[in-house]
Amino acid sequence: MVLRHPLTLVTKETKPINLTASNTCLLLQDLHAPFADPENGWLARRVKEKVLSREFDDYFELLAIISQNIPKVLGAARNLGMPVVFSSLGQVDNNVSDFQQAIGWSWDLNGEDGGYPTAWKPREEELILPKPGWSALSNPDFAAYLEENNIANVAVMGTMLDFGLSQTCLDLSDRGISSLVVSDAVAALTRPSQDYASGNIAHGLIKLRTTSEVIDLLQVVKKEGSFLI
Amino acid sequence: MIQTVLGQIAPDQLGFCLPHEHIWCDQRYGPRVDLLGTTRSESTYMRLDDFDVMVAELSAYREAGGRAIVEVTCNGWGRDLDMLARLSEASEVHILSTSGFYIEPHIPQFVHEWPVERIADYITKEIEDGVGDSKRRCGLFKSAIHRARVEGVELKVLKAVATAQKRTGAVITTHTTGNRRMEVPGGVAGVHQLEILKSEGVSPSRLIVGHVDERPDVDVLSRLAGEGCFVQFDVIGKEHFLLDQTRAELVHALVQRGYADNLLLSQDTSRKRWLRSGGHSGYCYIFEDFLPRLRALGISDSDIQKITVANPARALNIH
Repeated sequence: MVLRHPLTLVTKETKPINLTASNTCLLLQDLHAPFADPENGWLARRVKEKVLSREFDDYFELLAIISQNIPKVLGAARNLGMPVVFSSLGQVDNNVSDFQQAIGWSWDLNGEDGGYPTAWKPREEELILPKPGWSALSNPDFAAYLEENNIANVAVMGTMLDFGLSQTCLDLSDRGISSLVVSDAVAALTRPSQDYASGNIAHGLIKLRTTSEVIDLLQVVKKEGSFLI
Repeated sequence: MIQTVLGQIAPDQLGFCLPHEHIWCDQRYGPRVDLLGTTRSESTYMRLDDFDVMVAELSAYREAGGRAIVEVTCNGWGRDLDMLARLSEASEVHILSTSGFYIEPHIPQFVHEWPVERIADYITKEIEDGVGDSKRRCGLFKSAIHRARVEGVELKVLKAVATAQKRTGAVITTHTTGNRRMEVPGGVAGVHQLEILKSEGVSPSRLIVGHVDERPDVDVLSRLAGEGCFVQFDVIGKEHFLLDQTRAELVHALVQRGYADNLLLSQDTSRKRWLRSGGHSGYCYIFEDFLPRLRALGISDSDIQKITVANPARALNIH
């Protein structure tokens, strides 16, 4: 089935993103152990326990693909001096949100569930924010961070594209902030859902670019200071 | 004995059985609008109503090794025991018809108005005396829900079915609806149905919990099987609920846990597009696709025989 997106027929043309090292941050969302550790993470363990592994084959295949690309983009962003933020579903200090209680996912980010794969382990100076809901902006500290640092664009990578990442991008749009989704560094739960979610959000303030495109443009930013996307 | 639309047979005469299918039904007898209030298109209704086509489908099933089918269309949306008898004669497939009722939108008005005892009398007669002028008898009861809990007229039906079950000994098969499954603790309303039936004095061994493969939790299914219920994977082939490979792996896990005696398999065929004439595999899908998956996982032929022959015979045996 081919999905039509008639919304774009009646909205303004997408404005370009003016990307600099200081007006843009790189967001790594839901890339902590529960979702991103394919062997011992919560999701991997859970589906094995419940004999449901096949249902998540697409997801873990997509995770394997994005796991190759995330370190490349992260390395390029760090090399540029672009700020990096980690936003991860879970809680600290037993502060389990209504959303987490409803869905039954309560992960202590101070414990093992707050761990990250070595390839994208946060650095000391990088911000790690607990995420009480699907969207990164469900934590008001992220909104405050964006405002205090005059962030106009957020480059996005991570898991749960069809839920959390889509919600984050839409919430960023509500604040007039552009999202640059690294299309092969985001994973939905299934391949059809990946296609649907990607196509569905790609309008207005949200753009999708591949890893190689993003690395190229970050190199231009390093040389020339900015890049129009 | 097992009660088919052509009469009683001994359990060892049943053979390979699909215990949750439709052969002759017309959902247009039910509500004409969907949940959004718009009129449904004709193609969305469960509807099987072509005699020659159905004889061909059943004959193909028999040729593949099938010997019996439980037709779970109830009073309220096109159940026709005389037609089932004709189909059974023409195809040489044993067919059982079902008493009880489907989900609330398909429950006839008299059920809303009658007390539980009178409904129980009515469905008891469908097992003991037969239906309509021809007096062909049903072989089991059905209870269904379309919400996340057993309540309202559907609870009334379940209680009537419980009463009739204790009188007749016939097994109860359940529909545990899918679209509210996310709201059901453990993913299957069979847990709630079992609690009610036990409180009404029905043995768990007389309950077939249906549609467990729409949102399965292997631990919940193990508990149901541990109680003695039949756990029925009966939407095989409908991969929008669950991949068949996952179904097969769940069946394998339950066999490994020692519950082979409690498992049943079926497809819930109910639309023309799933038939061989509609380009799918019809009632043969289980032979062509699913059983090979079970064998590939190492489930023995004797366990497959148990699940597809011995268990249906034990479940459907009226005692």
